[in-house]
Amino acid sequence: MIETQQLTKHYDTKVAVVNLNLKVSGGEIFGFLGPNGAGKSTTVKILTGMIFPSSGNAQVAGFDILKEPLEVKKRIGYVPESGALFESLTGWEYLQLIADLHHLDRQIAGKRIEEFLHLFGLWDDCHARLQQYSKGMKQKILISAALISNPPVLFLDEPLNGLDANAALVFKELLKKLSMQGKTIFFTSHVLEVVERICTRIAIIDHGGIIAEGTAQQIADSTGTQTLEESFAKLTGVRDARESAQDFLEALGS
Amino acid sequence: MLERLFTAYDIDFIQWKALTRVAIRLANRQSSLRFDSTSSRRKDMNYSLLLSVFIYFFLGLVMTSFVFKLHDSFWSSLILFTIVAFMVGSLMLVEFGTIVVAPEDYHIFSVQPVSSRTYFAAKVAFTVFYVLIYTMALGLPSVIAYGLVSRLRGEGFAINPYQMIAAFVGLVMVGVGVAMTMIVVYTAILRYVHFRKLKNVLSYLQLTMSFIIYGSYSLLPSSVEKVGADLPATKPWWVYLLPMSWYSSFFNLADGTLDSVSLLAAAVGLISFVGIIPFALSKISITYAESLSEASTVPEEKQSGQSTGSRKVSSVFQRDEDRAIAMLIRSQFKHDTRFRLGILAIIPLTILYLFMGLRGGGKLYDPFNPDWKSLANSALIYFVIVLFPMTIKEAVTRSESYLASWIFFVTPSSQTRLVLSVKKILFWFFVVPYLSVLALVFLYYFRNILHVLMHLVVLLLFSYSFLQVFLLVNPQMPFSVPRQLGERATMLGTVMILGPIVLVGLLLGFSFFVYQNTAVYIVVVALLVVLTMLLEKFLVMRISRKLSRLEFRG
Repeated sequence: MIETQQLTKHYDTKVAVVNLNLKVSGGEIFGFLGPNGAGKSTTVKILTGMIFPSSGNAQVAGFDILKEPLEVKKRIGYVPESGALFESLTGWEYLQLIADLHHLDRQIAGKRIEEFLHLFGLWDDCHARLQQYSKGMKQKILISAALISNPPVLFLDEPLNGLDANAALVFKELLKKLSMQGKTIFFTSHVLEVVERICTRIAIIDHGGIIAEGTAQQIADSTGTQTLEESFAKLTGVRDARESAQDFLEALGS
Repeated sequence: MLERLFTAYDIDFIQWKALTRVAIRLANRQSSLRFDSTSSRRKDMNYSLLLSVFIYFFLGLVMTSFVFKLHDSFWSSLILFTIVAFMVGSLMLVEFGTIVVAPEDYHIFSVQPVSSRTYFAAKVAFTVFYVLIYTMALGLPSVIAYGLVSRLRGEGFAINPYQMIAAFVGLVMVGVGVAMTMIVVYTAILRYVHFRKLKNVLSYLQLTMSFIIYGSYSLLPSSVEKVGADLPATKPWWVYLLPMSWYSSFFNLADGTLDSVSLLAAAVGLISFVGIIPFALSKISITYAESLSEASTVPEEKQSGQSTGSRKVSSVFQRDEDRAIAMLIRSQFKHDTRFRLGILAIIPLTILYLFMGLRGGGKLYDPFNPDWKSLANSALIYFVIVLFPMTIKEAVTRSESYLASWIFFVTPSSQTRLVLSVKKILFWFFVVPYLSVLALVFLYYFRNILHVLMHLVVLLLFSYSFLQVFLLVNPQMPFSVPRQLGERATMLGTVMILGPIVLVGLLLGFSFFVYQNTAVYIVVVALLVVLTMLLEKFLVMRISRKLSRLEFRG
């Protein structure tokens, strides 16, 4: 469902992604991890057709992202980390806009919007402008917008941002069920416990390239650690965490 | 039929409708939040937009004077269409600049299955919608005047529908045609220039156009009055080189005075209008999305360290709030193009008004030796004194970075002091330098240093009081209010109408009753100082009260 070959992106002299080769199949929840500036968001932006690669190829849902970007976009749902929304629209209007852009039948769209808003507990606020929504409420709208066309591929960039514990629980269960239906889920997060718990396979990217790939257990075994968090720190950490924290404390005391 | 036409141009009709509807909805709504979900829909209006339309309508009423003064509709419509063209061009740059270069839209729509052509068609439709609102606000009074004018010239009262139709069709074609041309040029440049540079270039172009359009508002009526009787009935050939004359030729058609030249001109006008729309749709959108995506994702060059200028500015002030705001304003001036232009816009206006003030006999109004003629000429120089504090106060309040103003709401610094710091910085860094320049001009014309000093003291007190009043009316944290469509046009229009009235009244009063007697002058200046101090006290009270209820807009 998602495949990249030698995918590379550079901005002038700065290289963001280098020769990235990925293969994510239907039914997988693929965790894509990396420290800040490692190339995660750039990869997601290329795969969703927001930006173009400098070289290499990528196919999503069976279509080439460069040759048939619109066909790809018809088949993906995306929750961006930026949380960009038209805040002067109401929750209902925003979802209706996304449904129109996907040519969803008005009746079907209306029904889905109503159901999503009820499920996320947003029904009472659906005619308030997004400006009035809390961060978590906006995130629920973004998740609803990504799901509304029932796409086979989902790109989720920090989807749990701002969600309350109950909504996060529901969403994680939903992801599992969607993957069981055969949907491909590309999941990016800094919350390693969540990734460890729900992702069927994980890749860690640093300096634009993959440095580890496999299940959480396989990555832990290969790095001689117990948890994904420890593996991540070992693979990408430049300094010892305890040492860094101590230095911060000393700076505060100066 | 419309759907088939769209399909022929590879535009998705359903998506186009959805995008256009949303664009209009977003522009019509207040960008700031002043209502809750239970309040009425009427409160959800963008009043800046309504007010700016009203101001353009008022200016349109003023412009009917061309129709009545010039007996040849060709010439009067040429002036009208030229002003409309400048107005649309200016609007396109200042209000609709974000239509073509809109990275915000891109973050939402780039992952949706929307082709760049459909997206662009929606933007064009939205632009046409707004351009027509403003064009009609400005031109409708003249359209009506054209219907009445020929009969009012002594042929009894009746409406001439042909002239009205010619004026209406000409207006629509000029307004939409200019908007389309601007979009074509805009996106053509975007192919070769990085959008951040383009934004800067276009901003300065907008500054120049504002200069021309406001200048034309001020200069044209008196020029028309002078040459009105001398305009030739037979048009010289070069006049047809002006694109607006093509649309003025429609009046020959309406009057039945069509000759081969005006027929050709009208045909060229029609063909240009019909040709520009498919040209825009077919040529523009090809590389649009690519340019935009690159433009919106390429990181800006990093700048390291604090500049020495920043340190110098900060060190001038003793209070923490003053230093923080000084650094912020300086930084915004350096990096925020719209803010910088809001401030710099005062320069061409000042030059223009100075030029206009001096062109009538080269004499600047000397308030110590007042005469009516030079007052009328020089009023605009003084008008800048109202315009300046108001422009900069608005520029410092409204910002695209308004979301960052949360910092003012959570830091333990005094919010009242933060607002007062804005006043202090604007006064010392903007108003005082401007008045210093004015002092040199006064010195050249008055040739009396004492008169210049006395006059400057009054002007300084006026400027300071205006700044106080503007803050009293609407105290806001710096860079804390979102920008809104039509707000700048509203502000400038309001100031252009009210400014001269207030200033001329004050100047006259001072010239005839204050400057003529030194004792009276001293008493009045002392009173002004007391008034300023009282205003300051009142301002602090009001700001404290108002800010205690002020909420973060993000």
